[in-house]
Amino acid sequence: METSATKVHQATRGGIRSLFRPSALSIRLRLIACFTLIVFFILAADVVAVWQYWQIEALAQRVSRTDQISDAVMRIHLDVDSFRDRMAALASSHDTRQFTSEAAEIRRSFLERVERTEQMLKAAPDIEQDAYISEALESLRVTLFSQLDTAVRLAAAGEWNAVQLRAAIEIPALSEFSSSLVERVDEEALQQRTSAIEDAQKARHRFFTIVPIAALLTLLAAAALGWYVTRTVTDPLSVLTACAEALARGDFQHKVHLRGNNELAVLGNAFNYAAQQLQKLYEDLRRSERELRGVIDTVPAHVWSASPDGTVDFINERLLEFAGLSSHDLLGWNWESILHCDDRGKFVAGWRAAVKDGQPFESEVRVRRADGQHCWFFVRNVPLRDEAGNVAKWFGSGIDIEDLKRAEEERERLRQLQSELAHIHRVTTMGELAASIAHEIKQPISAASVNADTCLRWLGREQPDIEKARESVSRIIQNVTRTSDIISRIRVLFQKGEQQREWVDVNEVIGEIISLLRSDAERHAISIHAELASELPHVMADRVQLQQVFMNLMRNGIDAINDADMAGGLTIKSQRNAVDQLLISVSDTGIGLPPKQMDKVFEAFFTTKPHGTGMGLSISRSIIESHGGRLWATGNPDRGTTFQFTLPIERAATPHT
Amino acid sequence: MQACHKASPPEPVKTLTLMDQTWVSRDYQRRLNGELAQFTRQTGIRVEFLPGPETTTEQLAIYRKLLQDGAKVPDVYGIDVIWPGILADNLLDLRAYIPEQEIQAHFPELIAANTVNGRLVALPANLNEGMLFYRVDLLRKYGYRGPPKTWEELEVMARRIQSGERAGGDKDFWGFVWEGAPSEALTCNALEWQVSEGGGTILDETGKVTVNNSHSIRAWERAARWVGSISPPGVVEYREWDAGNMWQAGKAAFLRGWASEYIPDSSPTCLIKDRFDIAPLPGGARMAATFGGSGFGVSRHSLHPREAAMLVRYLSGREEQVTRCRDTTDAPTISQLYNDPELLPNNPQFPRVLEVFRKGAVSRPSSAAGKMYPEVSRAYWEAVHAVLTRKKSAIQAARELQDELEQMLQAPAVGANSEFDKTAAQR
Repeated sequence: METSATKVHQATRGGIRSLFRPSALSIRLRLIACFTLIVFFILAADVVAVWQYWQIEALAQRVSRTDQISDAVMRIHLDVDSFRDRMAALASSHDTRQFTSEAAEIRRSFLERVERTEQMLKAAPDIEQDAYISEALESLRVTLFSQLDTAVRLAAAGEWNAVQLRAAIEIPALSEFSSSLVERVDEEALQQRTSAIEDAQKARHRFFTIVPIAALLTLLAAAALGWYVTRTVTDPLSVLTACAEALARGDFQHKVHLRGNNELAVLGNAFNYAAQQLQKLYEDLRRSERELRGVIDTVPAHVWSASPDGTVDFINERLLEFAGLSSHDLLGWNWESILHCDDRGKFVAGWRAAVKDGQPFESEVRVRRADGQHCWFFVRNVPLRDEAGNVAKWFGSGIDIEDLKRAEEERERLRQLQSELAHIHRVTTMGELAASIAHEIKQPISAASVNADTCLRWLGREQPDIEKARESVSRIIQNVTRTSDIISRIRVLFQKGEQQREWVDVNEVIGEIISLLRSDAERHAISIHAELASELPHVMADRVQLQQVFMNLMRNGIDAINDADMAGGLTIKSQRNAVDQLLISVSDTGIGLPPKQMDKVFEAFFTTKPHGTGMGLSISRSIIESHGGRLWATGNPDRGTTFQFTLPIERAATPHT
Repeated sequence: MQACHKASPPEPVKTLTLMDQTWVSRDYQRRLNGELAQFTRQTGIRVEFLPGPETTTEQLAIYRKLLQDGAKVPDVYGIDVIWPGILADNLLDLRAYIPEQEIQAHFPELIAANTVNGRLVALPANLNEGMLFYRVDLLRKYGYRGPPKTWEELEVMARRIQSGERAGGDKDFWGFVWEGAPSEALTCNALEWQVSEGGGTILDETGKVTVNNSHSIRAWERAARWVGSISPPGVVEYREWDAGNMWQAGKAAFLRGWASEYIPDSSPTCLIKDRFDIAPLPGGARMAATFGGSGFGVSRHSLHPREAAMLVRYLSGREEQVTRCRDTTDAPTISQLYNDPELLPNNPQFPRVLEVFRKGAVSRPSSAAGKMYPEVSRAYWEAVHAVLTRKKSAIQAARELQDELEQMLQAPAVGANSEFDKTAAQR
């Protein structure tokens, strides 16, 4: 018995303890329990208030009932009184029949009255407790009936004296008793009323004390429960927070220890699992980063990264090896030291500007190698942006362009050599042209001489014809001017100088060269036709080089026609064959080229002429290509060869009239 | 609320309720109230008085109802001398509360009458016995020197005085009034008639029915003769109060009354004050006075038995009986008080009362009948009443009563009692 009682006790205590141990209940249940308790407290407070209110109400009812009973007892007393009076009156009248019938009536109404009063008493528990009143009523009833019966019997026996004496002696005692009962009930009623008023006062007092206290207790209980439940949630949360912070620091060994099976404990377990997974991921990442680092270090380029403010935070092994320095010597802004002092200022300024603007930055810069030599690098820095568009990281790479630089220098020297070679070729060509040039010059000079004579004659007459003389002098001036033009053009061809790109009207250049070659062509009975498209846009070109190309191509044409020993013609066309391209062709009716040699003619030192240098077409092609065009040769369908070339039209070019 | 009640000190004033028999008397009420007030002054215990009905039959009915229902109120009952056997089961044994010495002070006969199966269920408070009240002035007026010694003498004197007074103008004057209504009082009267004639006490001490005998029949027949001659025809409906009322109103020469009525009749307001005296009832074979009186018992259901016993001890105690002797004629139950020189001047009847008690006290057969006594008594008074109202001859009534009682006393007591209760309740 004792052990089982102890067990029950322990079980109860255990149950209660588990109820208040936060880990045992889920937060949801805890909150529900908490709210249920608060609601319970509120209901309890309401019940207390209602209870108090009911008590006040009950007191009022009690007073009312007491008054009713008091009234009823008073009526009974009046009944007794009237019974006495009636009995005395009837006893005097000596009417047995009337006495009997009235006695029955009195009995009936009195019984009714007493019963009603007894019912009232039963309904009034406070007064009913006082058994005295109901017992007295009962006694009064029995006594009155007994008196009544006796009186009836005496009346029946004709003992009116006895009846009268009873009415005079015994019945008043009954009346007195009922009167004392009235007093007694009145006293009771007064007490009830007094105590009810006191109780009501107390109850009202209590009401105004208990209700605020209940409200306050409810509030305190709610606050305490709220604090308690909050604590049971926030404490595990702070444990979780601490673990999350540890995790953020990279401490994967920190484990959450939360007991029970509530939501936070589940969260804690999930957190532990996540930490474990994260650790695994982190290790995988470390491994792949190591691998990537290895890859980056083996890439044949210099690679680095920098933080958004431009501070370099990573440099690959290749660059360190190149510079022969440790990463410590180069990280941050230390890398400036390995830049060539001539490039350093410009590069650093450009890099700072790029960091500021967040724009990609490209530059060529010389970097000092471990052996002290400086090498050219093409450096490119590109920003990596986050989702908001802010620079998150800079990635940079440096590619060794030392060899490229050297190749460029070689190409430049080659170009100078080529230019010199073209000059030599021009001079040589001019030598060959000397005869025709002499003839060219001789003709206007002869004409000037004739005109001078004529002028003299016009002046030598008696009446010098001034007008005629003026005409002769004008012609002389024309002849001389023409001569001068020819000479200056030739001089241009002999000039050796830098390329000078200018806006050039291609048709004009064609006209100049035709005028140089015309006399030579006429000597060999070769006609020159020019079919030039009007309003061609000017091209950006080196005028002299273009003249050289036309000279070469037309000379070759004249030579090819000569070689054919028959009369022929040279046709030069210019046209715009595309939006951005001019097409110029020089066609002859000469011997032509065998198809196999169509391309070979452009090779250096290849020639079909006994006294050719084999340089003309080669130089021409390189000139056209340096202008961004193309030069090629095709055989004519009937006779001869056509050389064509294209020249790109610069966007800004506008036709010059 | 409960807390408030617990906090408050226990109510210092206890209230007891007392239900007594003879209340329909202003004097009695006044006296009892005085006694109870005194008790309250002495003990701080309040006592409330609850009146009982007029007749013992009705009183007994209501007592039994209350006690059997376990009523908490009243705490103290006035117990008629014939009731202990009937009510004992629901009354406490007072020996547990009252010192033996105080119990011993009472008449041993009364203590014995109130003891049932060794339990003292009530403590006697007063002694009562049937007495003959006579008009000294009228006896003298008609030349008689003293009260009658025999019933025959009484008849003669009554007839003479009655006719004389009527001739004198008092038309409704009667010679002898007594309690003839069918009630316990009739049993008391008739018992005195037949015992004094040698007719026995209905049942003998062993419980054997002895009522059917010639002495009883003669006694009843004589009484029947009185009705309408020296006693009013309606005497057969007279209860104790009616007989007393007639007597006090000066309408009779003789009254069969109780010793306790002496003082009320001597009161200044009474018409026959100083014109009467009391004497032992007339006798033939022997002196016979039914003895009555009452005591107080404590209900088994009382919530305050100790306090209730205190009240009983107070009401029955010597001091209170002495006080009572000063202004009532209630005869004490303590024999020593009868010789108290201080009390005698106020109670000149004491020697006669004591003499009657010693020589002629007749007990009703309540001990022999036990719980059946009310039934026995009812059968007896009904039989006698039938003779008085001439519905039956005395011989027939005696025979039938003999049979009825014999049958009744063989039958189980419980059934008879319940039948009695039914009868009482119908009234």
